[in-house]
Amino acid sequence: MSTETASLAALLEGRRGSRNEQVTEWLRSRTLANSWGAAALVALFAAMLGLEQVIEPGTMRLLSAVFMFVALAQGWNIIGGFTGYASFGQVAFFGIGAYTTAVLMNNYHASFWIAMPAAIVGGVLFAVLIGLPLLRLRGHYFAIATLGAAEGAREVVNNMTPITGGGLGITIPTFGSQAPTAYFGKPGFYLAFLLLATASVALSAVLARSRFGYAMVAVHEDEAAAGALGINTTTVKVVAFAVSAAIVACAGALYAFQQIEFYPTDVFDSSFTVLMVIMVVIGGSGSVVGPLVGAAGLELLSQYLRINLGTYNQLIFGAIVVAVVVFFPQGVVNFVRDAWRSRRLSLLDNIRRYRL
Amino acid sequence: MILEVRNLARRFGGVWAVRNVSFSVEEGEIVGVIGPNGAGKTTLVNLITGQLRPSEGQVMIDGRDVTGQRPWAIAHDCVARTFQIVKPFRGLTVRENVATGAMHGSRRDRTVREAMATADRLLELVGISHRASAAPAELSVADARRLELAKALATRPRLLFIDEVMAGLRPPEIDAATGLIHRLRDAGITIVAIEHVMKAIRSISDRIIVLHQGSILVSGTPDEVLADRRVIEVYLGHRFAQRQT
Amino acid sequence: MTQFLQALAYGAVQGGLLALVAVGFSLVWGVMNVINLSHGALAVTGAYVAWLLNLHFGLDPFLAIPFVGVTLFAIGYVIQRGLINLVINAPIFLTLLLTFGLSLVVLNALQLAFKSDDRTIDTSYASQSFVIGVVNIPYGRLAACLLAVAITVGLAAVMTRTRLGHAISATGMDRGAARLMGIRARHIYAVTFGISAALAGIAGTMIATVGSFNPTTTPGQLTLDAFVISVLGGLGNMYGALVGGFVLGVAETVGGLLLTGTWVNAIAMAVLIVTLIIRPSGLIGKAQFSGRVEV
Repeated sequence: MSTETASLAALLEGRRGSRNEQVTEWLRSRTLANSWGAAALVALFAAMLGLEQVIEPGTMRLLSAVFMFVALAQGWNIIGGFTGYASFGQVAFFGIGAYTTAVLMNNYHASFWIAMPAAIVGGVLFAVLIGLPLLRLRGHYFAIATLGAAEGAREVVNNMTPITGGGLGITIPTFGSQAPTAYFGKPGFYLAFLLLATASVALSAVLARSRFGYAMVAVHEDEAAAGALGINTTTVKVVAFAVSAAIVACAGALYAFQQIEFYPTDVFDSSFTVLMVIMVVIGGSGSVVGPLVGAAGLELLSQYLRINLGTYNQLIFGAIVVAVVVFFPQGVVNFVRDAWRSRRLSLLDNIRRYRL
Repeated sequence: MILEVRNLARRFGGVWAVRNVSFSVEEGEIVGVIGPNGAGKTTLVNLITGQLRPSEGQVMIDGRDVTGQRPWAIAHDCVARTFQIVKPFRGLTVRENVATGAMHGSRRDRTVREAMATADRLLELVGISHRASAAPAELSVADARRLELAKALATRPRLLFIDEVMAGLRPPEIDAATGLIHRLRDAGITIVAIEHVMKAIRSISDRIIVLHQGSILVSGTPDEVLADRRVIEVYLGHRFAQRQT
Repeated sequence: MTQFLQALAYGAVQGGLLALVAVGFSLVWGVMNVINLSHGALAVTGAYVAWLLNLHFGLDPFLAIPFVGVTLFAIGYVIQRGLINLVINAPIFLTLLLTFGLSLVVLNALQLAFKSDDRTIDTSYASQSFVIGVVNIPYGRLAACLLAVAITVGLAAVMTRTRLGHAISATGMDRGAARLMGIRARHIYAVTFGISAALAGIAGTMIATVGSFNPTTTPGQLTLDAFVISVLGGLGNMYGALVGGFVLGVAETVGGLLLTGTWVNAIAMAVLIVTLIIRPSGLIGKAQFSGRVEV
């Protein structure tokens, strides 16, 4: 055997390093590749934390909403952006998270710190339940099926009146001795949503560079080829769906506590899902920063319009969505990245990209 | 026997794409599979590697029944295949494409970094390391085939199915590919090659199996098979076969 | 039993109307792979046009249909040619977002112009009904249903027997090949969308005669119904839309009889999901253009 062939044979055997080797390898790969991103995230987190000291409660509420959408967008991006299974039923997990929390806190006087993990578990269970049959569908069909599942979930919750209060809504006790957990208040929720947003971005970043991340992209690009390489496509899809559900359910739990009182139509509102999708696509789907930018940008824009333009705000918002889709179809983040790389900024090229 | 196939069959509605196919492959062999278009060659590979479920029959790898297993289970049994129409992951670089195989296949690399290193070595082996950071869309046909092969190799197979890798290659490229296949066999991989390019299949195969309309027509050494009248008839028609023999 | 028959009849008639809402949606989806989230908004726009004509000129809504059709066709043509054609080659989501943004614009424009009140178009005959056996069928609804069926059948005929219809089908099956044969794809897409918008507008007009509409909730409900029916009937399949419409119509009314509360919607969703899993090409036959289901 020539040396070349011998080395090929060795390659085929596969190296099996010791445990220690593997751990040091893992640590080294973390710090080297991700230091810039991690530093940026920490800096952003610190900045937001500091911001809390100087802003008014109203702005705090506004920013809490922004943070929530960042988390929701990151959640959607995991199943829709990375794995390519665009779910139109994410709001189901939001609603399940919200109602699990509310029911546990209201009916069983559970503390929020028990209700929230339970909400996450509920979301994950539902994701696995509907994911196993539905993830066999592709594209539009998966989108509609998940939409249907979300609508169905809402109806079920709506009709379970003895437990959930049905159409009359549900209330979380927050006063005095009735309250299982003291209400967080605006600064508290600001912090809570900020933590959730940061955690979701961090999780997304870790996943993107991990083995699982490559598996997700492979499943997105070509399931047959992915399977032939040893990737269990069913597991990847269901896990991605479950992770995204967990994030969304957690957001739902916090939202429920924040709102105190809500109806099924509030937390199972399909426009939440559409918003999530818009934010990710406009920001740049399949990237880590894209959903962050898209969510923050769009929510801030939406709030600004609501405050300053009153009745016209939705109209302008719609027009802006149309404009962004036409001018930045690949998402703002990818546009900037490509423009940076090729040192050319051409909107006209962008418009021509996808047209007939 | 690394691979044994017994009475394998698959129907689509009323059509039997593969019927009553039985053969075995010894470790270290290179077996060629030829046949006219539509003979069922790729279907056969799909049946063995789990992309399709057999309607009848059994597939045994190292004596274990793996019939009907999902593709990833087959990959973990050290069986790999290339796709006739190459399927690269377009959003990833060439290196990342191969690394994905290295980190998920049998005897996989434990970390992403190791997988990248494995990928680099495989890219060098097949001859496209200069394109490691390129996007698959930018590759030439020959390079795209090499990428497809590297991906399959990344899963560290002991048995490799290659599906028409020579199609559209120029003679020097065919020679390079032939040399590579021989080196793979020397390194311990058993190879089953589906091919149309006769010159290539003749020079690499120890044995050739001829498929026709889903069943095995004839099998034997390259010289035997390619001189067989039935084979000529199936490829070139009755009259030509008459004239040749 | 009477109740059941009544519900059945009512549902069937309602189904014809729902089918008209869906057929344009299904056409656009099947031919161009565009899910038009502004479909409901266009329908409501048509309703407002008819309502205005009725208000200012006393024009009977059924007579207003040609005007509504032409107006909405023009609007649809411009939307497709000027906007949607720009992103037609992009991943599906972009057209979804584009149409979503468009629906926001249209909805809110309508809201600003007409306020959010429920509107309806009263006709003298709409509320009267005739009786077959034990079943009571209102004239207005019946007329709307028959018109809907006629239009759907007419559309199917256009698709199969006219040059335009063939051009649309061809472009839907293989745009590249169609262009190579001299079909101007941009124009054909615009025409298709125009037809879809016109049908939506006519459907909106019909709905206005039999019930009420408003710019906030009606568009979303109509778009969702169109979604469900398109999937049930198969994309791009005209007769399938009819079948899907009837199924949904009957399911809603009969379901409303048998089940309390809003369980009906939940069941409808379950049926939808099960259909998708078992028979993704729709309840009847093959969907004509089901080749592309990639996101």
